[in-house]
Amino acid sequence: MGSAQAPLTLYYWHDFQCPDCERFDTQTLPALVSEYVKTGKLRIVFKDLVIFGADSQTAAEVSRAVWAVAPSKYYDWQHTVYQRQGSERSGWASRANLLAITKSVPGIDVAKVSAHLDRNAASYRASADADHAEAQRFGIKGTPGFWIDGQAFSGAQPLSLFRQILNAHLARP
Amino acid sequence: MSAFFAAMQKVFRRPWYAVLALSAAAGFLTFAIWLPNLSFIASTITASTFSLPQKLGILVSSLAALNTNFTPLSRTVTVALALLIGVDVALLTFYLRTRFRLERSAGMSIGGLIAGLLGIGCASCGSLVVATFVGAGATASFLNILPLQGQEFGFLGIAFVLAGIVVTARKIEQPLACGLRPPRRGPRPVSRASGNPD
Repeated sequence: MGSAQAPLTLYYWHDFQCPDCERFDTQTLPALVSEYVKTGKLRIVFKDLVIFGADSQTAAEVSRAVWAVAPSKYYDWQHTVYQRQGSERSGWASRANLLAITKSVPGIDVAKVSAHLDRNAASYRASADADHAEAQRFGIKGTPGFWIDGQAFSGAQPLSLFRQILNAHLARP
Repeated sequence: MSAFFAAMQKVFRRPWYAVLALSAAAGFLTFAIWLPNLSFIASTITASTFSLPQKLGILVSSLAALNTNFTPLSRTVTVALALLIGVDVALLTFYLRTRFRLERSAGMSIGGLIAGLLGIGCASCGSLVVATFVGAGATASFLNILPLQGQEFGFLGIAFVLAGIVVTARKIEQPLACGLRPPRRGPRPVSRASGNPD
């Protein structure tokens, strides 16, 4: 998400069932997007770190199908999923429910998303597994996990911390 | 209970101990907030690419994670624990300083004092020190490594620290001498003047 020419890239590992990710995604991320992404200063790369089991894996796969079908609508979709997040492992992140949520986001063809899921399930799973391995390699211990220019940290950190970090990096010559 | 409040009054009427309690509480709270990201904190402090104001800005703003990265319950438990640890540290410092001064005047060595406090020479003092530090240690470590963010053990930690506070307060109010046991009924002591009563 954001310009490929942005001077900074924030890697963000998340699990759609993680309540801390929900807090970050609904309380902090919108401000980061408007202040840094839309102004061309920051690019955010979303990555999956499945820690809450099979439904989180399903959500990670659906997210890839949404990205394949409608990349410009991906952020709206992710934000909507977090707004409708249920309790961990309660079954809310089933394929059927995630597709129903997808239907409520304008501009995404649910039939295409479903077809992509059927066709590419194995490669989506492998891709999510690769994200998981990458998180371990970069020292991400939990979700939400972040990596920016050599520094890794985790948790639903406050907007003020992101501002301090990003401004410090942007101020470098 | 009156001994507890008397000890609290005795310690906290000195401003230095109130400052110590607040500092210890703030230190514990900061540590608890930073605990999940200690390597990030360390890398920020040692980063050569950040200026000092930038480093301070990052470190200070990270403390706001108390609002965003804690649930209402875990936030309440952590703040309560920090305050109790502050009180505990102040009471224990008061007790150790008082005891140290008195026993040094009596010629006891520092090593003897520490050994006594650890329970080799004095069981009650030993339990005081060990219980106090087990409370703080349990809080610091279990909160980090156990599932459910250690909230169950947060309550356990509060219980340990509270117990430590109560025991320390009692010790502060007790005289530094062994208490006399009430006289037992039975044979009376032998009078040197009269010899054996038999």
